[in-house]
Amino acid sequence: MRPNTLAEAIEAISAGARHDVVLAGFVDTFDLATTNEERYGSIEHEPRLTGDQRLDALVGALAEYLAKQRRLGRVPPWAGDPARRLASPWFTTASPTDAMREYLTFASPAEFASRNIFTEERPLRRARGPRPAEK
Amino acid sequence: MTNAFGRDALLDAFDRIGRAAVQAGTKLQIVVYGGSALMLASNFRFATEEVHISELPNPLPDWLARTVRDIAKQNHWDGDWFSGVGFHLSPLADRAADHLEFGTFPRDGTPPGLMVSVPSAEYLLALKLKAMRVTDPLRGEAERLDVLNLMRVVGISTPDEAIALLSRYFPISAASTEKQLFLLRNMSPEGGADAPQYPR
Repeated sequence: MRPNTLAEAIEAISAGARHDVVLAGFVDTFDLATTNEERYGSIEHEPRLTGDQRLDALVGALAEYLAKQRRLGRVPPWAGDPARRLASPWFTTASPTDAMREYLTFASPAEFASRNIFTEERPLRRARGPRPAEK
Repeated sequence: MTNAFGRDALLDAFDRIGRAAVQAGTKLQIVVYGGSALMLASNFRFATEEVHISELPNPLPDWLARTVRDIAKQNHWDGDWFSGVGFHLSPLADRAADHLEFGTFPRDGTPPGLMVSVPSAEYLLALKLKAMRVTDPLRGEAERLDVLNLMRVVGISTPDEAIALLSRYFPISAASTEKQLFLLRNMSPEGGADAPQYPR
């Protein structure tokens, strides 16, 4: 089953589940929520730090990005913790060329770039797509 | 699903749906897209976390909704595991030429109730090129390998050839392909399967 919260997702990953699959499932949970209250509730509680610095930073970026994309009006404070930022840049592609680094540096949304994660301009796209915005 | 689900589990699920269709006195034809199509029909993708299906009746008939729910419960899958396609298919894709019959279910020789098709390698590659999620922080690496392997399967070796294929199915998308071209030229060519096959 999909994780109901980001914290649950990290527990599942810590128990051995694949992080890409679990976090993609969480994005579906977030997108399929029927209210913004429910969406915020799914990211409100801090997932524990795993010691995998990339994962810890990615989870912070994901929470802030989803909150802003869905205009929740607030970002969970834990997402701004310094432990959610990488010391050195991570380009989210295998063996990036200089051109790819440059591309991702400019393409990456601020929520990712501010954590030293450089990725595509519309990360976390899911085939399912979000529910229409809450009125 | 928290865990990706594998080929055998999906085939077993199709067997159950096929039997339920026979019991309901009907036949169901579906097309499976995306990672699940690759998992079913290729030799280079072994798991997926979602199943995208076209040609599903809406709403699902009671017998199908009940079967899908039972399968989800038994396998600890999400209730919407058997879901419709959430992305744009090509209006230019031909039902016969751009799809392959994958199989009929159940697989035990009893009368079939479910026929499953998958897109051709060319069409599936075009769908992957249109989405072009090869640098996504979650699914980017799987997408890159899918694109690399499908290019080998269809005999495409250059970005320009890939864009020509994209334009066959999605001419409007292909009118503005700077991003796809850039990513195809700059993504790592490493890590593909030795002898990718689709269908295997």
